[in-house]
Amino acid sequence: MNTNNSNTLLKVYGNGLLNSYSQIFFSNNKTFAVLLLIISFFDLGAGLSGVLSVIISQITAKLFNFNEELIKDGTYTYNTLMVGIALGMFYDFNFSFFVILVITSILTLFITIWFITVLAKKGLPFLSLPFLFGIWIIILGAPNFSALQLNPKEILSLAKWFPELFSSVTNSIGSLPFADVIHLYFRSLGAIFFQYNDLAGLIIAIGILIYSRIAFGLSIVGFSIGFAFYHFFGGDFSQLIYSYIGFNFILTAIALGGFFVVPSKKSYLMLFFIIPVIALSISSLHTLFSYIGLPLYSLPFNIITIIFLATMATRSKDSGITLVTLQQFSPEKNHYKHLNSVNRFKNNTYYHLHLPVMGEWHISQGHNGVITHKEDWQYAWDFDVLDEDKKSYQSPGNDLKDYFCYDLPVVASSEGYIVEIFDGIEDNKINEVNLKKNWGNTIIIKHGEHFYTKLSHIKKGSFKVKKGDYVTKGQVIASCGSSGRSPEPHLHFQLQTTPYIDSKTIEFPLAYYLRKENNKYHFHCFDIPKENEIVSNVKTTKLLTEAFDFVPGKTFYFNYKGKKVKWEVLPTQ
Amino acid sequence: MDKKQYERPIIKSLNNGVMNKFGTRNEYAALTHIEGVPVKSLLQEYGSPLFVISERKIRENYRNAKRIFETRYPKVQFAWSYKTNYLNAVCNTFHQEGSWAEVVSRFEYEKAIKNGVPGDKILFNGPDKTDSDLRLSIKNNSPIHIDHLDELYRLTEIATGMDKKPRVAIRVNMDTGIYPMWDRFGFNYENGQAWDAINKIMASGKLNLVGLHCHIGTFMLTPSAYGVAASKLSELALSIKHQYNKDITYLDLGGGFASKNTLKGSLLPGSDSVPEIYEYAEAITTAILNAGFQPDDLPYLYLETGRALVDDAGFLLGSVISNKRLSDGRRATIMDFGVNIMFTSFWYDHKISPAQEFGQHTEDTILYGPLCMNIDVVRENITLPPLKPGDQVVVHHMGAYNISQSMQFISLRPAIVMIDNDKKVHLIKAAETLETLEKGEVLPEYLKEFNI
Repeated sequence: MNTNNSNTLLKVYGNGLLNSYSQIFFSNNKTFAVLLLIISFFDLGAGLSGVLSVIISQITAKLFNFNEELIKDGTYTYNTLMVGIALGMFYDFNFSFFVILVITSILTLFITIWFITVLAKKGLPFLSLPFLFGIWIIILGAPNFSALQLNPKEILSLAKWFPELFSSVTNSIGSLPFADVIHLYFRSLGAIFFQYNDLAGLIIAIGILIYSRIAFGLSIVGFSIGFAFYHFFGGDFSQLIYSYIGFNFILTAIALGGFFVVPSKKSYLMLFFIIPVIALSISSLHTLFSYIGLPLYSLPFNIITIIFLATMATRSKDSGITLVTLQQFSPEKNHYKHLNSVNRFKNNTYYHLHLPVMGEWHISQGHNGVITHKEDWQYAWDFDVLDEDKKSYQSPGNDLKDYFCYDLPVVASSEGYIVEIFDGIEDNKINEVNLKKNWGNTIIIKHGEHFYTKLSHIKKGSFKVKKGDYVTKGQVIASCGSSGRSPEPHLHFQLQTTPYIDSKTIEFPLAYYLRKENNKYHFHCFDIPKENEIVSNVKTTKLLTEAFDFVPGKTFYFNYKGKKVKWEVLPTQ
Repeated sequence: MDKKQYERPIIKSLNNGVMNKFGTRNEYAALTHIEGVPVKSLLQEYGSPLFVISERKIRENYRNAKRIFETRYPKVQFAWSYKTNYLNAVCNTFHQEGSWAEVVSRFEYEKAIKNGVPGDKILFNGPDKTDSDLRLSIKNNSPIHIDHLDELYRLTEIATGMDKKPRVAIRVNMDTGIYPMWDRFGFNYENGQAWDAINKIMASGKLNLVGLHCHIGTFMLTPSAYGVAASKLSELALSIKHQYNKDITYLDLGGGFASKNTLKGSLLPGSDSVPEIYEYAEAITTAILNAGFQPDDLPYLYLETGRALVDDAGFLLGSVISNKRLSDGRRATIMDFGVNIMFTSFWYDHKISPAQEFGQHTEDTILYGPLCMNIDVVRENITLPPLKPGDQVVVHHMGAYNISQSMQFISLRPAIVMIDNDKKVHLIKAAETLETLEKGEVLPEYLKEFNI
């Protein structure tokens, strides 16, 4: 029991510590976290106080019984980590320092939790606002206490002990084209960890690449746009170089290009507008804050990102820029999840329609078919049944009964009321057509207001229902025939908004069906079957539908390839 | 110029009077190739007689039947009846097409498992299931189709000791309007036995009633009988739903569809008079769809079709041994295959084609088999062109029961080959030898020596 407890303790706090590092870059990738941990120790003091501040915050959070999940995923502590690193970077280790460290860590923790309560309700992230508030409070307040001796110190940097390591990176970059830009990029990356050197930035860049190609690409795109803006508009580069706050471009690009927004062409294009806004806000805030005497750090990124996300949430339509609903902590996964859900639920339309037949049928004429599905009646399907040799009849094929689909049951595509039945028209002999009554025997079903389906060329006298009857989905209503404009037995199926026999058709998808190709079945949802496809309804049993109804509170236990998997259904928040 | 075929002279009795409606025209065409493979070369390579099975025809028959049923009922599953033909090559062809397995004995069950059929896709029928058979089925989650009350009681007892609840069905027999009515298998519907068995199962709480099974006859010529059977099974299922709120997962209508063989005494040949598969399908599916099930509660339709799927995919090739003239002048020809490997010849008049070209003369003949037994008659009367020793013939529609019911009596059992979709020939069972015949025999020591 004790080992169990200590194991979970280690899991929660160990994960919490590592995640604090990667969360700064919107990631929970452990390899990346370890790399960042190493980089933070390029200055021993900074690294140590970073770890200490996280531990202090975790203990505090635990003592006050705050949410353990948020301790474990680093949400509570990534801002305190940044505060700890900053303090350790710039101040000497003495008794006063440790006092300040403890106070600031706890303060930042509580500011973090406060921001969660305020912003999370609106669905907005707090990014690094707690860090900014924490560090500003210290910078502004601490000097007033003369007893507290905070001395700027010699940087206990790794660079002092291994100068060759750092200079070699700098020199090799120097030999590349666009060396200035590259230097600026790496140093801006490193600046997020208060490491103003190329080596740190290089390692961070590699770490980002490990965790996500998209995030890496976005960091380059974002930085380039920002740099280009400064360059072409003659911006004051000293601002960018002073504390390498170009990392605002990088963080914004990752956040709005692939983390909070589903990465897509449009999200990338949008950056061309947003990054210049960041550039402007850097410049304006820089001026403002130099009066106050506070460093800017990531304030532009925080303000612009939160404003953007808040405004985007008020739209009524998606317009290509989609906010991520269930965070996957990976731009790639956000992208794939989004594509998947669009595919499955894209037309979560009110009426679910199914194929009006049983078994596998062939679409002999589809939408905009050349024979008869034109103009007002373009959105219609003709069905027949083929055998293994792709023939619709057995030899000789002179008689109606030779055709496989003749007399087969026709079912209701969805539940509804029968509004019209036209009967009494003889089935044609093979190759003869009835042009006077070209629809043949027909049945029209009303599924909802302005929503009807029509089935034509029905076999004379085969209707099993009458006008006014209520039918359920899949109920047999008639038999396939060859009446009307039908040279050989087939079924005509269309959707329309009015209940007349010659109503115009509307384009509308079927809810679910299977398409057979080369003996393999492909699943389609909210799609329109095309000409020459072999389609069939999805078969289901009550056991399956009842087993897989996702009622909140239900827990599923699976045995998948020897591994035990557990799913729990939680109510949406 | 081809050498002319020698034909021996024939004696034909002249009928005075009006020519009968069947005329004198010879209706038999020579069948020299099966699926493109010459009969001559098959017999030369594998010996005579020889069973030949066409894989193409099996698949075509299955897909045909599947399409016919699936376009009339939303949930259909076929289970291949192993007793009809339990050659692994044949069974696996069906399994590849999507068929489950239906077995009636322990060895068939083990054969299915060995072939790789998952336990829960083997339907276990039959009156003879030992305790060990039942335990094995429960372990493998195979549906057990209960035939009699003793089996039900034993099963309930066995189930108490096992951690899995057995999935069971009961076999029901009923009056479907045909004669004779089979009442020896299962529980009777009309006198209440079936409902009694159901109540016993539900009351015990130890068995999971998942299906209802019936198998109303064999070589059925009236599809409407199936409609009646399906209605009665549906009524039982609905009563169970009403009384116990339990959904019956499947209705198993068994087998019994007729194949294209001609029954003895039938006026017309089988291919003209036997119902088509779609007629059975219409009867069954209409009955279930109209029975009154809720649209979401329609049970699965299981079918154990055997003969109708495999009979016309099997041929028997053989050779002529000799000719005879019987005491009253009738012509008899002796073939190297008889009732020992053509058990179904007791009730069918098989169609037999010569395997080489012939002229227009024919003779009424009796066909005998090679056995030294008087009952060994293949055809009492058949019109064939004059055959001489060594001539080869093809017997049609031999896929069902003949192989599984072959005797090892007087003649060793012949080889069996299968021709695949690419017209390649595969040996799927070697011909029996004296060794394979004597395999289980043990001769006691004291009998080894003798002095004659």
